Amino acid sequence: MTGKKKNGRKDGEDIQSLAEIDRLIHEPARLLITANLYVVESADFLFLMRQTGLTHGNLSSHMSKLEEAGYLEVKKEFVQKRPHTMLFLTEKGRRAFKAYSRRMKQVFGEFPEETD
Amino acid sequence: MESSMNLKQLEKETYLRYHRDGIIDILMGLFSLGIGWLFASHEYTPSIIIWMVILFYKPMKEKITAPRMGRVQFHPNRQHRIKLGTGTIALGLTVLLVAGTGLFLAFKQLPVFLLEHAPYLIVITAAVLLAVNGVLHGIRRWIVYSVLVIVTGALSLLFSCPVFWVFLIFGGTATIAGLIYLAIFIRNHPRTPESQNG
Repeated sequence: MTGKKKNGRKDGEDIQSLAEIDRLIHEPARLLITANLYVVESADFLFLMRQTGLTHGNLSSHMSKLEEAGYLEVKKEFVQKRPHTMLFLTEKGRRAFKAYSRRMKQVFGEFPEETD
Repeated sequence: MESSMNLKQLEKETYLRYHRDGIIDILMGLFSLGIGWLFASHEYTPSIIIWMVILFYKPMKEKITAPRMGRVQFHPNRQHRIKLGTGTIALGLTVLLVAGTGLFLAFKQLPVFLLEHAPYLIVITAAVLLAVNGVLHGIRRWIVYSVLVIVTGALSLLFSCPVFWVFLIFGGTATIAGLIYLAIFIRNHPRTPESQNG
């Protein structure tokens, strides 16, 4: 009894696609990091700490995971003769974040309104 | 989380937070106080020093904002809007300069009406530039400044009050507001060990 919807997807397909979401981005702390990096060109470690409210260790470990996946890249540079690290989302990271956001919209977009 | 996921809003908030340090307000205020002082004292020679206030922007941002909040580079779209804002200011000043020079060359001296009301032209230009940049960057307090400049300018014209008061009132207001913003910013963003390490 699986009827078809207007958009051609079968009933339950939307909710099933929830299982295919990118878990690397889905984790709340990493979602905050990627969302914050998505809206800017690049930012440094301190800026991300301030924006996300994460501790140094927490941010470091999440960043490493994103870096390992190729979502995030680190650029070393010198500011006033002192080493400085800027972080930015790679093309792969940007695509993954876009796909994640599309999928979440797709899943929750047609969710029925809560009735009391 | 819902508001964080509104990406346009997040970008705007990020930009505004980065500029909530009051530095621009302080420099703008000092600049206006300088202009007011020029009109009040008729001492036009030190005007070159007043322009130099602008040169303090980057060093102040580096010394105060960056170590407390970190560094960020905004998207080309945002950079484009910043350039548009700066371009508007440059265009406004150029139009004033060209119009002034043109009139001077045409009549060998500036028309009496213009000579009498030149400061008001500067007041109107300042108000328009503040409003345009306030709207472009989404900084509402600049629109409030613009209204303040127009209201004090109109009052000064109505009550035949010397126009330097407009610059002194706006300059004082912007400097005090900037100092308050700066104090709040420093209190909310203390230096951390991470800020030393970059």
